[in-house]
Amino acid sequence: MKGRSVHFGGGGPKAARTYLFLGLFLIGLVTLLSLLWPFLSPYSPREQALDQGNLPPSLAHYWGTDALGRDLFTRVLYGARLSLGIALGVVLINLALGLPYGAVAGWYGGRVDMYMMGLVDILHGVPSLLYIIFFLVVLGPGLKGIFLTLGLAYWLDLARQVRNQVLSFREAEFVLAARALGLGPVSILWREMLPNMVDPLLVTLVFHIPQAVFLEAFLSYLGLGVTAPRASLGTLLAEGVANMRSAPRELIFPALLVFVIMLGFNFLGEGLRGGGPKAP
Amino acid sequence: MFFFPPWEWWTLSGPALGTRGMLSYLLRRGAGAVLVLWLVVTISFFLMHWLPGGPFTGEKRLPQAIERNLAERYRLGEPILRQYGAFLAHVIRGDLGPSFRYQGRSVNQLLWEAFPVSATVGILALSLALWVGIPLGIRGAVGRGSAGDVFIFFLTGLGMSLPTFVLAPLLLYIFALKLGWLPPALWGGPAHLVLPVLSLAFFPTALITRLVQGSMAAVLAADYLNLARAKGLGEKMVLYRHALPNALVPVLAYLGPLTAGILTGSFVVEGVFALPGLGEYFVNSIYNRDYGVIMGIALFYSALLVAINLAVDLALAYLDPRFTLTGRGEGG
Amino acid sequence: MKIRRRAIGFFLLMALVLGCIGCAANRGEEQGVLRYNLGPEPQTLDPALATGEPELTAILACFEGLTRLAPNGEIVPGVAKDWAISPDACTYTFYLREDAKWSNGEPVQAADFVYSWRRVLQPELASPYAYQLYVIENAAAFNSGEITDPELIGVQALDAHTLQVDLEHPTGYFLSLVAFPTYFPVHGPLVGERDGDWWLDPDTYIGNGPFVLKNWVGRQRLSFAPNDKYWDKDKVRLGGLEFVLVEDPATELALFEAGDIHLANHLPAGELRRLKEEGCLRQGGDLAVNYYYINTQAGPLADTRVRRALALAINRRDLVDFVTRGGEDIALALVPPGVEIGGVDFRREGGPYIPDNAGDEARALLAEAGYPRGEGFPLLDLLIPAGGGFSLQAEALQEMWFWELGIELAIRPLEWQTFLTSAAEGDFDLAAVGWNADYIDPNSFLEVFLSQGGNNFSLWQNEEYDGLLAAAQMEVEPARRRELYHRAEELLLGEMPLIPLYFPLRHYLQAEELQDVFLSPLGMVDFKWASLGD
Repeated sequence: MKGRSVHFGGGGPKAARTYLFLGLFLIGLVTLLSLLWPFLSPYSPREQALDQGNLPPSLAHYWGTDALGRDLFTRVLYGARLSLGIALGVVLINLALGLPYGAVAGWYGGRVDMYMMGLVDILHGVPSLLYIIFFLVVLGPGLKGIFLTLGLAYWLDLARQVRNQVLSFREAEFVLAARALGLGPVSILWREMLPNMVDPLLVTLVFHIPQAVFLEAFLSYLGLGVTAPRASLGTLLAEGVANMRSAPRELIFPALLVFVIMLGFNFLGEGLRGGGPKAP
Repeated sequence: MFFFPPWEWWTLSGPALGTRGMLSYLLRRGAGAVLVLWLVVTISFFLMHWLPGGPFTGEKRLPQAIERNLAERYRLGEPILRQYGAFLAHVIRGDLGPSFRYQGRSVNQLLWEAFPVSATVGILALSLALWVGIPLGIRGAVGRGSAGDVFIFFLTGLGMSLPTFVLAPLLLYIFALKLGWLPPALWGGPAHLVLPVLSLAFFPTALITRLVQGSMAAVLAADYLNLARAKGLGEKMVLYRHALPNALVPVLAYLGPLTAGILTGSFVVEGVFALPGLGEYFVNSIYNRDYGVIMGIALFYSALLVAINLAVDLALAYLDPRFTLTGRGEGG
Repeated sequence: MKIRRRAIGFFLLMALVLGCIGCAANRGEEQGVLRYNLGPEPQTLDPALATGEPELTAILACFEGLTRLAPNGEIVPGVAKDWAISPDACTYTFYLREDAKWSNGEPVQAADFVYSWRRVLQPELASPYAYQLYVIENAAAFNSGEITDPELIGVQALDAHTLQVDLEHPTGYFLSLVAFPTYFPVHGPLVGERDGDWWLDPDTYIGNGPFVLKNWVGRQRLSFAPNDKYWDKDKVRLGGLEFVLVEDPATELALFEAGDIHLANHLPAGELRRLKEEGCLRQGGDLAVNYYYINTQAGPLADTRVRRALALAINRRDLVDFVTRGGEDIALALVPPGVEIGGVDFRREGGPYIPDNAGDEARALLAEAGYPRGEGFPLLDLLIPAGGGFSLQAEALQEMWFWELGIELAIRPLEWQTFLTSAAEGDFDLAAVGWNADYIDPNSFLEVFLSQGGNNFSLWQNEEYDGLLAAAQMEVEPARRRELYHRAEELLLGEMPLIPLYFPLRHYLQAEELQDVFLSPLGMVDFKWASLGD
């Protein structure tokens, strides 16, 4: 188990800081770009020039134009804003709902666990498209519906994961020791168990981000998400796929930005984990 | 192998769970499962009937007389509670009723035709994801910071960044049209399976790799592994026999919903590759308000999910002796 | 070592699973077999119940009505070899050919039509397209349960080969109507025995058309062989048909480009320009029009001047050149070209009713209505069906209206059934639709806007309009009938309860060797005359 810490990373707090810095840098950069696009581009994201559709990249349009002659660079940066918001939202929902829910179920186990996990199964089992259309009818388009859908769907996996881990730690020596010391459930969960499950937890959290970003594209397609002319990275990707063969750049540029964002979150996750194995 | 064989199920006896406890636990979980399924079905049923439209809403609105005839023939005009009762009565007899949309065909028959397709693609994709993801994750955890680790880092990053709705058309374009190596779509021989399986396996592979890597890294540092090493066990033995089972705990948590989801098919993959599977069928049945099919697939999916989750819990109890399924002060 | 063992395990598993499903790949590369993508799985193959394009296409291959629509747009004899029309145009007498046979060899007779049409109209059968038969005397009354005696319906067999049909009113397009699948005969004794699923089994799927169903693998493919009992079998040159079922247009295009299918007529909008530039795109007329309904009961849109301003401010030329990119005709009226009455094209004779891209006039109208430069104008709510390709056009219009009139538009895509419900409830300001003809007559487009029309989402009501259409229905003389329809259309576009945009075309690709396949303007494809070269 010799971690050859030659390239980047490796174990230890120093590597963690590097990861953290890289992650914060990438996310910060995209956030900054998505907020500062008015200074970087002379175009508005909705401004059309119908006779200049699907142009290749040029000095006038760094990333070319889309089917309606809108500046792709501007649209992608603008779209990143909403997608970053969704990413943030899904992380918060996961942490606010999934983490405590799973912890309670796992801590008490038995019947409590059965009922609580039963509810998770029910929420998993009811077809999401049914309640998505329900929200569509009741709420109309907009962000409310998106976050409600995310709130219904995107903490279930994390809850189950936390519950499993808590169940498996419940009888572990370090927990028994903490209990013998007279620590209460909350401090045991927070101080003893959480550090031991943070690695896979962060992985799950990071993986939920792209799923939520792409789910938004689907919701927008159904009418629940952003409304035109506003765009998100998800909807831009979907548009890009439709034009994939005529104008591949319209797929490549949004995809590139998604990749940068995901890389950023990955680094962030690695950084938060401490950049390597650590003693329990 | 990390999946324990069925004939060993009854030997499951952790410190807190004897065979008797096991049986009563299973019974309780079974009853719970029935309750869960009933609630899923009930919620879905009323939600579905509440949604605007109906199974016979076509491209235009029909004259009222015809709407009436349709409601009469397919008993859609009846009070919703009576329809619900009739549906439950059918379900209890194992009959999911007729499809409204695909006339003359029963939901049972449609499920029976579509599930094997989705399951074939799903099992292959899941096997591929596990087969690639677990060793890759272990490698990544063992060689933290090595070139391999960096490679895995970027590969999984790519796996996360490419949604299926981009990946599937992309693979189709490259391998079927540009290179001409594989058939573009349709259900047929083994060659038809390659692209759907790859598209479907991409994301789970990235996820499993990272999960295994993450939890393995934590497990590798634990004391008991050093103990195992001290006993003179080889590194491979230590990795696969002692570390892996523990590292799989969080993976298994994810595997339940993932397996149920993958086995019942992906709307995108089945749509792009024109596979007659369950996933595309399910989504279309909701757009079409094909009430019978919606309920049938929802019930089928939930039953699968509940069963897999139970299996996962049992697997966890087997893998991790500390894992206790009974609550404090009850059972055991 | 470890890895290799696992690899073997994986491939064993793969082989196992593959073994289970077997190698069902049969490319059907037989000589002269045409491969075509039908689209979604047919819901039914019963002519009486079918409504969608895939169903109608498959039925057209297996059945034939009294007449058939030929590739040149003419109505040619089908089961009827000849017909006579009474002077008041309300009674049609069809003389059936003696050699018309079912695919099981039994003769097709007048009584079969009487049986089939009565069956369609039975309230218990609940045929969605029963209204196609409502022009027949007492048909609507019987279908809605007002009368219960089927003898009263205006169809009777005078003898084995003579069918007499009495209509509610003269119907100039009746001969094209009987070419539509709802009017097709079905084999009475067989259907009576197995009503409910007779069409699922090739053995009981007895037809009277150019092909017979050979095999139907659920949600995968349907195959057909030529019908050797068909009276006109000499004209059928294909060795068979194989329909695959692919819903994604991009996948259909890939199958065509890979040479797996001979004809692709559901193409992804994003690829049209490329295909056009490559020179392989073919286009044909489609009896269809895309327009926006205006909710005439809500807010400023209740004012005709505002509605007109919206319609005039659109640059339709740009819309078809740069957005839809299919070379469509712009729509400055409702009825598309290609609808003839008495041999005269209705659209060509009528001409346009509004100017295209008349921004100045539009601004003047808007100012007159009290909204100079759009000041104080509320946000307009445009409803579009999700995923129907309406989004890009809507975004283009959004900008046009914003720059020309200062009016902001909120685009609200909705899943189809929700869309239809919201539209019917009047929960919108503007609603986008594409309307396809049910039958070849201006009435198919104009009747939508009848005061009581079920699809009249604009809620516009006009007694004069209703009167003109009713008068046109009763009119026998083609020129006068056209005149009545022109007056109705002019009235409609003067009041503007809709904004016409463009007349869509049918875009398709076909293999070089494929000839004489007929893409009907009503949406289905007729393979009777098709051939695959030599």
